[in-house]
Amino acid sequence: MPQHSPIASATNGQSGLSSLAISIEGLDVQLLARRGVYWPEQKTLFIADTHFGKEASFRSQGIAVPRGSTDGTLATIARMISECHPSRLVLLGDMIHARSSITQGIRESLDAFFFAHPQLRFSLVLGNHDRGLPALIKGWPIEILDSGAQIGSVSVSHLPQEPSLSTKLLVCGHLHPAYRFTSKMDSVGKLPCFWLSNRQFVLPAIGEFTGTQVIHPCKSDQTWVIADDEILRV
Amino acid sequence: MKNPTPLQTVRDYFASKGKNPFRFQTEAWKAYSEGHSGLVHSATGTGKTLAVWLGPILAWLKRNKTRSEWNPKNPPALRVLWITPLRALAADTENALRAPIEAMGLPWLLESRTGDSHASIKAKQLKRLPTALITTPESLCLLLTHAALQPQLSAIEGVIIDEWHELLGSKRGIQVELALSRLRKLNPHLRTWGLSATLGNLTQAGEALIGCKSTQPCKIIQGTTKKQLRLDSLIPDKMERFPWSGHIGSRMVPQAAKEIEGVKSALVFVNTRSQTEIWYQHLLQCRPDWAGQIAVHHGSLATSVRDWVENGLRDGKLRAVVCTSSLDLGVDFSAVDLVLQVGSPKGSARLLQRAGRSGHQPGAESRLIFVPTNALELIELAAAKDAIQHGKMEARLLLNKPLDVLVQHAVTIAIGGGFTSEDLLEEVRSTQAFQSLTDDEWQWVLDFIVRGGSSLKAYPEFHRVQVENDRYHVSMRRVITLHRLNIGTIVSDTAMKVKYMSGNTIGTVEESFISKLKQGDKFLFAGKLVELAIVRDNVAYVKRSKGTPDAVPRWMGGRMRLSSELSAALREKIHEASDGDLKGPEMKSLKSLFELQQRWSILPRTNELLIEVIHERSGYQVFLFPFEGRLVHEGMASVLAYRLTRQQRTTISMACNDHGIVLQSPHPLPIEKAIAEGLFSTERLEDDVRQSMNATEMAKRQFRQIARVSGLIQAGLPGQRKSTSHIQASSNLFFDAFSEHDPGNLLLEQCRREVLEQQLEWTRLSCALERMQEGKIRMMYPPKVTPLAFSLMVDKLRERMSSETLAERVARMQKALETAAGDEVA
Repeated sequence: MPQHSPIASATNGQSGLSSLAISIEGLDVQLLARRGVYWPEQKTLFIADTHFGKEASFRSQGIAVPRGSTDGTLATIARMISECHPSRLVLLGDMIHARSSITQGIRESLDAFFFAHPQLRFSLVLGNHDRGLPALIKGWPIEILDSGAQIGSVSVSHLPQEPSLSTKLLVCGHLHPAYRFTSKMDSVGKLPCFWLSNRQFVLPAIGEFTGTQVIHPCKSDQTWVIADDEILRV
Repeated sequence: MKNPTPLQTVRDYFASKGKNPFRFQTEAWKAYSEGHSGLVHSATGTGKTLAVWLGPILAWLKRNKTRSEWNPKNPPALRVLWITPLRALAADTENALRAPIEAMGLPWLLESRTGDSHASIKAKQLKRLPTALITTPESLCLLLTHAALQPQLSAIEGVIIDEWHELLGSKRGIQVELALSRLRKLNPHLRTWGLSATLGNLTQAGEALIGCKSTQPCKIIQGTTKKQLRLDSLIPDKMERFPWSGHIGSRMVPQAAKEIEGVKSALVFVNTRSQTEIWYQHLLQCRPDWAGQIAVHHGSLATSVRDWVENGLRDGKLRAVVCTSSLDLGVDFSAVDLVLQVGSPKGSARLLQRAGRSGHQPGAESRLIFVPTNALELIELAAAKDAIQHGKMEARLLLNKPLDVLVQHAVTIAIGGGFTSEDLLEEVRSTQAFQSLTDDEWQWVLDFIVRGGSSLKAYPEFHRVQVENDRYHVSMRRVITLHRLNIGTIVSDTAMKVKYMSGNTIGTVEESFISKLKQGDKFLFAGKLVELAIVRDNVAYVKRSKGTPDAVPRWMGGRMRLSSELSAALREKIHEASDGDLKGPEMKSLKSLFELQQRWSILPRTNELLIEVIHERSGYQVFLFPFEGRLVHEGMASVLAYRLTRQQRTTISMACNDHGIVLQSPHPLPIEKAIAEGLFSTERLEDDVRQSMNATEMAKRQFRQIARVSGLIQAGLPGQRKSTSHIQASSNLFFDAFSEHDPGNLLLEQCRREVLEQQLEWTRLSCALERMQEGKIRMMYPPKVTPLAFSLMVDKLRERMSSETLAERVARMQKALETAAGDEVA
């Protein structure tokens, strides 16, 4: 039987969007309703699955999707940075959607993002969509991390995997997890969520034009859903 | 040897069958030979096919009188197109059309071209089309993408559209209208003939067929419509034990089996594909000795399986076939002498059509037995009988300029040789559906296919259609391939093939169904119990299994709605019942149920609106019974819920059926006060309708088809997924992306319009509200859920409207779950 803790959320005054301070495996982190995780100890902000340029890939195939979702995702990230002041941003894979994603327009948007954050150390674990990315990112200050790389006491990867014994927690993405909330009387559909299972901590996808996948946590798991601008423990 | 006259040749053909042509047949031939277009409507099995098919044959005979010049090795070029709405019908149609050709020794080549046709035949046809081609709307549009075929298509003299009533009022019908406008452009003297069952709006149907620029009116030729018909209902043996709701009707299986026993061959119509599987199993359990004599037929079974069933029916080898609307059309099964309709037919025209599947010979009697699945359906049948008796047939509502279909058509023409804006606009405006297309809308369609949208900034690097010297065309191979794969308007979830381990395909199910199964889970399919062995390369491999099923596949498909004509008849029946005036065996059988309803509440008269309020621990429930049909109820429920949630911070879940609406809330709903303050008012109705549409998932759901037809999402073709997986996104994502970044996109506007016109059916909604305002409101507080309310209460498909935040709702749900868990412990 999962625990139903009362709603504990602290509203971040600046943004109107809340964050929730929690402790997992002895690590104090903040879950952000903008779909990121901030770890004060290492001044590191984690995000996953941006799928930059997905809409451009569609357009190049003759499918009309308006421009704007990449800029929207970048704006969300920029807001989290201005709210948390991290020194490092770690992207847990699937930075771009496909090779055709890096068009002139998308390149300009990313140029502007990196230009606006010169102090930020930007690290990326390559995801399954990032094949071909290394050749495209010349000029951008991106540090590529190996899957399983260690940051302090946690390791990072794109795909969920068994964490090594020496690490407290594996932070990963890929799944675009969402939780379906229904009761006899009401249903609110799928809500994107953070999912902790066997020391694997899966982040929701931050990319605007990306879908979600419903997860079915088991009893020992912990899940936090994002309900509009609030984070609730399930 | 003297050559017989063309008419003599035809008469000889009839004589060889021991028949004479009917008057309506000769009338149709004459009209065709004079160059007219028209619509033939007649009951099924009365000789419609020959009425339209022999027109073109006579025309050819007149010009080719000398038999010695006929050379079957050199058949005449393409002259006739025959369009059938179901590709499964193509083979039967081909047989029916071939018979006179062979009997008369015509040198014509007759072939089919559908999604089922062999690739080598299709390739051959692209070089030279046969004299007469049987095809589907989709395959016809595909032909239009081949520029090289234009000279041959220009030579078409006549197009015949079979079962026009099935296509009319749907986006497939619009697709046909547009394709016809193209063919008419290629040959201005083209004759268009339709075949239709009886409809309430035949003139409109004819106009849609011939377009609005025709110089001559559409000839409406009436064949035999009066057919001997016997309609009965199976009245449950123990009425008091008969359920008030439900849609399977398994309790009726023994009685139904008894009826089947007494005839040679029966069709058992059920309303969904899942129900075919369930009813088949029930029948078999009831009569194990029928194994091998009964079968299942529905649209998701493999062609080979369906062919086997159809042949069995034709040869009279099968005692009964449980089927869906897959056997509504065409196919002539003369052995069938009884039709069983399980569950409400939802419309009198459909009931007639289905009844006509039995006694499928001119002059024979059609027999239909209605099998109710719940008590209230008996009222619906009584109402349908009244409607049929008074000749009240439903009209098909026509669609008005759906831009998604136009987008698809414009790309089709751009691929098939290109167009100039002016020419294609003129052509498109000649169709009934797009006669009022404005210049702005047309410009938007062009912008959408060339630039992605009207805003140049929003769609950089978009490539679909190019413009060079005012000519719109497509040069990119990729775009052409993708478009051809996705021509069509049918929306389905991604289909997954179901195969035996040996490799034999038995049909398709939706991917979402398989994804919920574990290996070894058993499910019913094609009348057999199978278990999932493995899923590989988008194929579900299964093996035969024993035991009880874990699941029955479900296929997407809208719920059918009661027609407005039948809704009105239903109100009359309830009114009669409230006066204690029970006519006919169906109504009489419900006597005790009506009495119970009147004891706990009332039976509303036609000038009354019944509202029942029930308060239980789980929440407050308000039942309203306007008896306007599901369509109107859906719109009404969301408007009422919207207005109530504006008055009070709450979440309302709602469900509808053809009889009424239920609104349910965790908080008390001050319904009397709300009515006094104008809950049913038509003032500001349009605003509230729009607002409520935005607050629910209605628009998003409607957008699914629009996204599919306009080429945003790819059709769920089995085996095609790998190459296109990185450009797959759900229609919800498109909806959000447009709403956020290009809110002026006309596809969004079309989506709202479709919801307003089709789902919220604007005019009917405001008429219904007016009726409710003028009528007398009967507010009742029954001690228990009444017979009328029962099926609404158990309906699980609910739409929601909320003025609470997501977090408030989640917290309330968590609390409810905790309470429930606490109860269990206690």
